[in-house]
Amino acid sequence: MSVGGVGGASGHFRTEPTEPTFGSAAGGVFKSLLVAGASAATSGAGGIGGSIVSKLLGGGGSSSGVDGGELSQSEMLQRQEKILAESRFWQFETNVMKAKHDMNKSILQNIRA
Amino acid sequence: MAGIIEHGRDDIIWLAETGFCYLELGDATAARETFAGLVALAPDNASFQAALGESFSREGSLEEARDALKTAVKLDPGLAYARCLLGDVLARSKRKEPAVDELRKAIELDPDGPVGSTAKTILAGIEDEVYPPPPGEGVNG
Repeated sequence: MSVGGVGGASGHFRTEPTEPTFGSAAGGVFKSLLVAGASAATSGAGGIGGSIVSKLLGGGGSSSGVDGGELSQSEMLQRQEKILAESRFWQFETNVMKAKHDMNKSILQNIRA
Repeated sequence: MAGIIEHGRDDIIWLAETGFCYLELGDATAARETFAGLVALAPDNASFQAALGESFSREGSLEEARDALKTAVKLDPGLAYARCLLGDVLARSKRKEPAVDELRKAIELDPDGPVGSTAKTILAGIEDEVYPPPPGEGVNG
């Protein structure tokens, strides 16, 4: 049984949802935004999604989201792989710096003792 | 007597704290200068030698870092901290096998502590081929 809640008629935030929330009005809006963003990104037609993805892939997209040129699929894959490798490296480097921070603290404690 | 400055234990601890603070703040040059001073004051202290090596490493001076860390290992072969940092510098210098050896020794010496944990993190990066950093990347540039 529904007890109302913040989400009101959309069906969100109910403690006992009586209907699936994915198909609700709010869910639909988010879903359509995601779909619109993704299609803009892949078609290069513009929009925020298109601009971000284009910049990530190094396509030289302008701030308006309009791409200056097209990349072949293999070039896009290469760039995606490069981005992934760099992302993995920076994640690793962050972990090393955190570990070194703890290590230095412990060495300093030993020096003080 | 002129030219001789006596330093107490508290002064040395204060300088060491300052050096580690510089390392944390990312000022490798100031850290290197501080630890170089500490090494001059206490040349037999392996931890200060190792911290000097780490400062060189963060400045991007890998050869000087390796020399300082090797001296630290000679001074105290059981100091996991020096072996871990030497392993890190060897990995950055693309010397995979000796790097792995040093990191494994560091893990043996401090299996459950923060030094062993750092060595395990670096070792995992080498095994996953995330490490060493590509040219122009990483904290050492």
